Amino acid sequence: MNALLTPRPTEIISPPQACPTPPDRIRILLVEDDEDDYILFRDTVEEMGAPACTLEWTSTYEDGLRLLHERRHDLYVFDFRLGTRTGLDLLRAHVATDNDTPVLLLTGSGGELVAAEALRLGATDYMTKSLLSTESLCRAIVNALEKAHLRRTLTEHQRHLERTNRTLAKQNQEIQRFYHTLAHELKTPLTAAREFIAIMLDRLAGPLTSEQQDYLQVTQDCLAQLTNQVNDLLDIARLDTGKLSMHRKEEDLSAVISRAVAAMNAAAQQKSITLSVFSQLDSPMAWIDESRITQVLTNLLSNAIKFTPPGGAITVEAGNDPENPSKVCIAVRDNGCGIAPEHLDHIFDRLYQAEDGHSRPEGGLGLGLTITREIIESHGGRITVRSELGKGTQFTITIPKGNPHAINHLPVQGESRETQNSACGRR
Amino acid sequence: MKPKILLVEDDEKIVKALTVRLKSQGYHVVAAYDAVMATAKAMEQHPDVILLDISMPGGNGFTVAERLHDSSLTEDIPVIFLTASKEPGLRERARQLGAVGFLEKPFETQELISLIHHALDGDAALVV
Repeated sequence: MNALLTPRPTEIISPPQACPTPPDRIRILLVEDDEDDYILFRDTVEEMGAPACTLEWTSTYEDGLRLLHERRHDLYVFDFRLGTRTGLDLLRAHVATDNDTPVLLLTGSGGELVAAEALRLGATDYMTKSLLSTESLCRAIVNALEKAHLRRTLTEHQRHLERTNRTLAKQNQEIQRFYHTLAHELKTPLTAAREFIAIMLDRLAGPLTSEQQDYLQVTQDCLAQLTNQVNDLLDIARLDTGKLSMHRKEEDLSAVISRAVAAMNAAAQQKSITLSVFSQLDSPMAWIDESRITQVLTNLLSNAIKFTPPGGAITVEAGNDPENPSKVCIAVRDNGCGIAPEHLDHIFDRLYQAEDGHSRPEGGLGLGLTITREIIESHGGRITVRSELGKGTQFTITIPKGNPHAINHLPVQGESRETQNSACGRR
Repeated sequence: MKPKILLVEDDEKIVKALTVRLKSQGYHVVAAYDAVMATAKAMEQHPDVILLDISMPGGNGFTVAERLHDSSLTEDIPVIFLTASKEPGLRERARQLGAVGFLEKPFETQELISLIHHALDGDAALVV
């Protein structure tokens, strides 16, 4: 029997519509120990006409193995019986070389078990010799090449994604490092400046005229504003590269609310705005990050003061969530200018600024409400807003009271907006 | 006798401002500007409270706290950490090292004064 016959190119015919985009000339290696079967296969390929193929034949396992290593074919066709070896042995050797050229296995009739094993090992398809026809061969070749092409594309995409992921992870680390440095560089001079202003305002550096005191007070307010903006920028940077850090422990929520309101009282008084607190909490203790909840409340109060006209009123109400006693809700309500309906769905979006002068938000960096929502969600809670133009706005936050790690309580997912809004402080 | 505070901070402007503030509150202030000086001053002066910046030259505040914790001369001195960093895990690390306070810069002066009072009173209930 011939060990290796000279390839016999078949006639080149334009591929029919049924055979989508095969290569110009498909190089097929057939490993088949029976010359008659080779001739049958060759004739079928020639009769098929398209796709255009070059067929190379070898009859032994060893020659087949050698040719596999040359990797110059587009498709391998292995017969199951190869002397003392089998096409499955060759398939195993082929898979082990990490060669992605597709393989078709030829089986005799009743070779379904062999076919199943071939597919399990990585063959692209199998064909029963007795059913070999130009149509079935064309279909099998085109399918095999198409699958191989898709697999290669997929692998390439996966590799590309992996490379991109590695690059992004590295860039993420660099960005984090940069923000840590930025935080240090911005906050260090702010700390010194704030302290020196406070020292002067406290008369520790000598007496002040009332004009000097006014100017220092303005400087102190500006530094406080700058501090908030720096903190917002650093928080938003943290959101870009991960989660905000939360340090939750059991805190007196009533005291946290009182302190936040007290901190904003001076700003409210400057605009003759009445700032009232009503607390109806059964138990004031809640598992929260005190500084973060203070940040949320001062942000909501600061917005309320900004958008409430002189002589207006702001109310903070705290109570148990009537729908879920394991939660508390805090509502911050004002009778200010309100938010236009078209802006309402966007106010938690980062950098969102309403251009309409009658609506909020205006001024600021447009980061506060994004950070506020993130803080509340990090507590397993929700924030909702209701507003009417010209009448006022109410933000309601709902957070679980308990320690999520200490009790069997999870944030309730998928609660409706109506349920959330039916909690305390609803107008 | 005035309570003694060791202020470990590499930024001279912050040292100056806090020194004025703490002296006005009746404390004696000793300053150190890096990790090596911090350990030496703590051993030598035996302060009542240490205000310890985390990022500084020659090693960070945590390594200083560990060193002080390992010495019988300084192991009982309460430490309040100060940091301008937002790096995650710092507060947790401070807690593990037994700190009595953790303040992110810029902080309210009153917060610092209040923490120092707690530390001097030996307030064990203080949680970082």
